[in-house]
Amino acid sequence: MKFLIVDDSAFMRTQIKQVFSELAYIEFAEAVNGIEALEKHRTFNPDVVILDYIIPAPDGLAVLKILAEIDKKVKIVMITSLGNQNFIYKDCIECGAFAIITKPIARENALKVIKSIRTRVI
Amino acid sequence: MIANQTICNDRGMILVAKGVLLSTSIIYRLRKFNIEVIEVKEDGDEAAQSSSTFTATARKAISTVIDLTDNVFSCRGLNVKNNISDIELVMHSVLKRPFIQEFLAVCDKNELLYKHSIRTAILSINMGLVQKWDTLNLEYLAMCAILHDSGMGREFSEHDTQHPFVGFTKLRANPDIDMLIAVVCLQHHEYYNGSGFPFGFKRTQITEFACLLAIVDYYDRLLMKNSDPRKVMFETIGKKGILFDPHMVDLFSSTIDWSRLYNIPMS
Amino acid sequence: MDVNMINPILCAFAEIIPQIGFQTVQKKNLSLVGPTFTYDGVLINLSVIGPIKGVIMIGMDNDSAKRFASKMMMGMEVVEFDKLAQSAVSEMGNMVCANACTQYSKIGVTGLDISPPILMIGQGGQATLPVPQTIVIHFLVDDINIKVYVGLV
Repeated sequence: MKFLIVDDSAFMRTQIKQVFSELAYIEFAEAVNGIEALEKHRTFNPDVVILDYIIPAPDGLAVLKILAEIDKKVKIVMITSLGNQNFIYKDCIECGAFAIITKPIARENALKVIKSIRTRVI
Repeated sequence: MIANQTICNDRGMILVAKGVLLSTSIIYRLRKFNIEVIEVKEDGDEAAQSSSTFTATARKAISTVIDLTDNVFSCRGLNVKNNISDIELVMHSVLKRPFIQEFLAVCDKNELLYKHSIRTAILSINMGLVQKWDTLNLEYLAMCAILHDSGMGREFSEHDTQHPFVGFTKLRANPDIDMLIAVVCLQHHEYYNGSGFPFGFKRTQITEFACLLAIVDYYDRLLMKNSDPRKVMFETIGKKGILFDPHMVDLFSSTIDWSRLYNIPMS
Repeated sequence: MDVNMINPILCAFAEIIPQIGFQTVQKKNLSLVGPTFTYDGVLINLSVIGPIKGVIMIGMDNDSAKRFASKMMMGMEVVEFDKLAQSAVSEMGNMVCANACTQYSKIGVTGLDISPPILMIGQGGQATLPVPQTIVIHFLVDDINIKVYVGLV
């Protein structure tokens, strides 16, 4: 599987790669802002995008809306520190997010995401 | 080594462009902005890329730039006089790009779109010069401005709410065109208060170049329908904080030569 | 500010810190200081807006910051407080404060939002919060001293 990780925090990108690579064989690409995310999506053609809610312009929600429109196959997993705020869930799901994970990313949640992705792909 | 990707900062401003030779000063600049990793390619025959030819399309466009710059100054009251040579220099550089020439060759058949695209570029570069943006960002701004309506069909209609997305899709499909240009095309009708289209983005969701282009595009389109530049100017500025980023409106206002604006004879 | 209103911050710290690689979180003491305080080392600054407004700052000295970052990165050696270590510590601040917003919503204070963290590094620095008094919570996290400065109204 090909994962594109979009987060402006170097630490979070490292942590996400660590958590997911323990669970499956994954090829990773990274982006630090919205423009780079869209560029990497064009060139890397990922199966999954792990997208931080708060990134430099355009922000995570904007990138989610654009990606959901241009690529119906890609699974977009939003990550956020404000995971339990209802408006975030509502916004992200309505705009086409496949799943939402709260930071810090727990292994069980990452595993659930991988399982769901595999189920949908088959 | 040559950069194989364009890198933007948090505001969507270019730090380094794809195809640029990575000199010590550019690498230092990247480090200053905490960019630790960049895709590169070997120098090879990519050096030939820089010697693009200046076709008949480009020469016609330069001539149009000169005419329109003069028109903007004398008939619209915009203060471009001090920046004319810089504007022409930027346009000269931008017009060498094959994808720019291709677009202008196609939209040459639609005079309204052709002139609107070039005029938008002139006004945008002028604002960028006031902001003291560097040459690289001015060139990208000019490219964004020229291509912002590339999703327009034959009819140059303001009611076409799909054209930003159509343009984005077209530009995105061309690997030679940076994603920033495609995103600005997508967002140039997005407004500060979220009332724009096609997505209804607002504030921090809209890149810096798109915020600037939104005002310039609005202003130029209005003036294409209404011959009174004073009314158009007030109508544009009046949308500060509603349709347009307040900072960008202030920047646009600073390019107005008010005494000249009020002395323009009514047609 | 009512001292009881800092409970959500205490809960957030207790909830998040174990999830990012630490074993023990102890609250050593709580104190009240004026709006201005000095710091040496690292200070993470997060603004809070909504029904409660102000600033939450998390501070520690340089050595503590390096040890903290090292533990967050699964024991990776941190010789210098470099960009990756700074990113780790900033992210901790972000996660703790975001969780605090969630904890506040559980006690009926909804609609809080936080800014992205600002990391300040230096010696002999001085910070002034927009409140008459600052609540200081001193934590011991796996033998690492951390102070949380709360200036909310």
